[in-house]
Amino acid sequence: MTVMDHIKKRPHVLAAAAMLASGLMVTAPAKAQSETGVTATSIKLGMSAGITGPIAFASRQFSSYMQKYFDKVNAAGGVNGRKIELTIIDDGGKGDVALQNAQRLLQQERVFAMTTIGTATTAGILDYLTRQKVPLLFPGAYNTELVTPTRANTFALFQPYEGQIAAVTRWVYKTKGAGSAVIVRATPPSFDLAAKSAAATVEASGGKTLATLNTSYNQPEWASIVIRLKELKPDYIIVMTTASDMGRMWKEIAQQGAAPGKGIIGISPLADQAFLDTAGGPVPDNMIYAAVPATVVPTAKEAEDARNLSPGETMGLFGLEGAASAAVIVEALRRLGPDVTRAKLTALLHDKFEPFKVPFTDTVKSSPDHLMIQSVGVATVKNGSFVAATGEFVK
Amino acid sequence: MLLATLAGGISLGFLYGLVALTLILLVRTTGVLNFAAAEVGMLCAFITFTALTQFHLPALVAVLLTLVFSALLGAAVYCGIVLIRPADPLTLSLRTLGLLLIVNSVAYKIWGANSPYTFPNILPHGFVTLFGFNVGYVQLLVIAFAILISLAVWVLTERTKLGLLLRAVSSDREAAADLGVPVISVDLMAWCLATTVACCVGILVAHLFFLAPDMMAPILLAGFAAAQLGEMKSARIALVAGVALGIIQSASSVYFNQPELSQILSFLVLTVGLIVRGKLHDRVVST
Amino acid sequence: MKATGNISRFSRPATALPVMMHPVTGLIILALLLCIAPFLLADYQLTLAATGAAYSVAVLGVAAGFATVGMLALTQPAMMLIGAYVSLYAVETLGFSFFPSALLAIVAGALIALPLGWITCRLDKFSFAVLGFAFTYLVSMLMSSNLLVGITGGELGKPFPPADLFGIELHGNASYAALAVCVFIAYLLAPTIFRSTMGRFLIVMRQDDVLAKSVGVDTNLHRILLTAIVSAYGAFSGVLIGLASGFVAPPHFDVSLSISLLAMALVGGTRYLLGSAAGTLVLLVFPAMLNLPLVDRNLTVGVVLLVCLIFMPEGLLSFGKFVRIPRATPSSEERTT
Repeated sequence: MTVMDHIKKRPHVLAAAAMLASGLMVTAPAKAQSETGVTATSIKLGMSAGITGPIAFASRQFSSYMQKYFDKVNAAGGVNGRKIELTIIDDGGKGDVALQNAQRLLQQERVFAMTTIGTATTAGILDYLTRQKVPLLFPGAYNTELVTPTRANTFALFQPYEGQIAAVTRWVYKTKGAGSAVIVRATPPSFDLAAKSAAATVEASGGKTLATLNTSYNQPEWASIVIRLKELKPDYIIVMTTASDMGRMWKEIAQQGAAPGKGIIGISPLADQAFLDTAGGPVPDNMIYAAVPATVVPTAKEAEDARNLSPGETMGLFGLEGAASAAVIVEALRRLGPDVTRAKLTALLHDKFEPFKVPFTDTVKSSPDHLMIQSVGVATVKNGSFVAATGEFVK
Repeated sequence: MLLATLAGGISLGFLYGLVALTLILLVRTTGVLNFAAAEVGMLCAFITFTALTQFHLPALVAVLLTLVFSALLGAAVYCGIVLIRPADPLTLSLRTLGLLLIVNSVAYKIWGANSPYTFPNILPHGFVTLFGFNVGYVQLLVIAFAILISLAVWVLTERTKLGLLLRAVSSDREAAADLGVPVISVDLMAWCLATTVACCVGILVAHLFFLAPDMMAPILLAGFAAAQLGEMKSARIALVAGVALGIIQSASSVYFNQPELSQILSFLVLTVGLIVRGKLHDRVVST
Repeated sequence: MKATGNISRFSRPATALPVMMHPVTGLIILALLLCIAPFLLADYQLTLAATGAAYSVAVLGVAAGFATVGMLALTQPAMMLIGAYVSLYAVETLGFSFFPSALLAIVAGALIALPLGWITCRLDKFSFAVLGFAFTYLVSMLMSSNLLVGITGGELGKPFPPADLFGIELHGNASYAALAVCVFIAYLLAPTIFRSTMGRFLIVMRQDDVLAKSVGVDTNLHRILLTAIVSAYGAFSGVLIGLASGFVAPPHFDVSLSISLLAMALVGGTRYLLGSAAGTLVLLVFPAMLNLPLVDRNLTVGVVLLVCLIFMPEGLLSFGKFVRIPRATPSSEERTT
């Protein structure tokens, strides 16, 4: 039996195909009538987030605070009369599932623009969104590739790891004095540039890098790392890995009495509650200095509006970042006016976005590399929770 | 530094050995390799956590309740996986793969969103110093527990009537049944015991690391490796193998400073170990 | 049974089963499904189906290993990764065209499997299973690290370029057609391999290794060959997954994928040619098409695997008129009650 015989035996298949074809012809948009994902009353945004999996702690709050920010804006009438509809799909922190989700969001849900949370997630969809010319707005990710090379459709809000660690290391060295450092990093290449940047900053700030210790994600034991730390006796430990690995590192350091002389400096996961949850005990004051890209610390007075989005829960760093991304998205859409298209949005963000600020972020403005906030804040631990180490943003 | 490295490796190795024991306990008695053993331990740790933090039960009560729960879970698993339709050990082991996915998913659904959690300190806090390396009381407890379980398994299987029954059933079920051994009761007891031990391992690991659905991930593979090096039979060899793997991991981390190399080395050691073990076994069997 | 040296004169015991049952029917059904899919499915669903078809090639390898000698091929994700990156390297760095790069990947997978096959001869099932887990974890970790970042993109992975034919890039339906042809060829070759003399040897080896040796079957050689073939399927699958999904990242090809592949093979039915396709459809494609949340997808795999192994141990395709297949009588050590 040939394929045609099979189809002839099933006339409903032919009918379905005909209906599909005619339906496509009818719904094919007339030129320049309306943008994908934009109607008279709504703008559809899509998000792929690692809500389960290794970065659940980050994704859950980033996505939920962004959603709540949009809900608040919608309740007040939306943006120029349009409500923002955010569709969030879990990708387990996996790049290939994120890509599947992006395909679903673009082809099935037909969203106007996308955002994401997670380094692997973002890496999975960068090329695809660029090819499809769909805006990727302020993802909760610190990939270097987000801004280098600059892509026409991609806009970032949060300094990548190498910028974060350079800024906070410079500040700590200036404030607490120069000294020797040991870099502790997970081996995946996401941290290659950050490790180099940290070492360069240490040198430039009058210090000396004693060694770089390599770990893996879910490092089975931290004793072997801490044994070496005890031998090396650095003033500073500069750490870049996941929040839970950093927590277990601290636990072992505390048990072995190997705390560094002056402090532990780290990338933004160090500023998240997940670090404290896995640290296994109290973390001393004036020991931890973590980069907080673009925003104030979650406990700061200025972040009250964001905290009030979800009064019943403790807002972590990534929740605040979610609110920050949402705030900038809302402002950008508002400035577009009634005629919302992808091309206009990317043109606006590229070089026409005049400086803008909400209480809990630093100033947002257009930048040639599409990184719209260049500075970071510094968080430290006091009395068991994170507070701002300084009132200013550092670069 | 070398002695400290050894101390660290030994402490980790006993943890691997403990995971191996939870597997060996069941294989030795029923022939089934329970891939889900560690996940069951993780689930029990979450039950204890919920009892402590949501219901504010005293530590001892929470742990006892969880132990009872784990025994019941073992019985339920036995009925749902084995008794429902008996099969050869390989098929039963493959069924436990399904169980692994189910337990993991259920844990993610219930507790995944807010993980990781800090497990409340219900065990003694503090450490002793060995060769300049501080070994926590919980780590000592792991070592003590591993040795205790290993001894208990040996005494149980070699020195008691129950152990004799267990060995009879595992070597020839039909003959044992024909001779009036209550095969089902014996199996049930083995499963309950195995899950109870897994429960204790879960609580210990939650103390050592943190509490999350994927908390067993760093130690699972090495635990399996140690068990297999003991040919899924010998608790003593599994413990020794676990300690050896722990020392290799610790030493290669300190001296190579490249996790990938450590992993390659562990893999080579495992491969050679398994091949040598297989050859030794053949030699023993054929003489 | 005459004790001759020529095994093809062996009359097969009546209870022995040929592997890859009903291959012709299976191949026809597969061809039909592959052909009508683009007409019935929307773009996104077609991508899912194509990705599923690519995975099913790896599952086919696992199923063949299990059905013949009971091998638990938990090394398959590692082979998939190796295949995908060998192909990517050949295309990007060596300037190969897609199809030759796929061939190179298949050969690489088979060659790398040879030492593994040698090891299989010396270990029992569970030992090899544990080793398989360790190998998969090792390869995934190595490829995620900065050691091989130029080729693999590290833990973040790399985009996979579209296929090309005679210098022309294939997109859309043309790309799908290329993938469909590759998948069909993989399925077409399977019965040929496993119904050959080698296939029969493998079945005898499963029944009784010592007996096979005693009549002159080189069991070690056949085990090694089998491992190479299973891995070649894995490597080919890796290339096709890269093509279908446009992206390859090492962390995905980990121990949990080992378990999923085995589950798909068992659920579909390792004795049936389309068992792999059925298992992949039920456990991978349908949950994705139904937009099930990730956690529920894992739960589905676990539940379906457990239920199948209890009530339909021969797999889903054994349902209905196939359910009365006579089994080779298990030896007394295997039965538990």
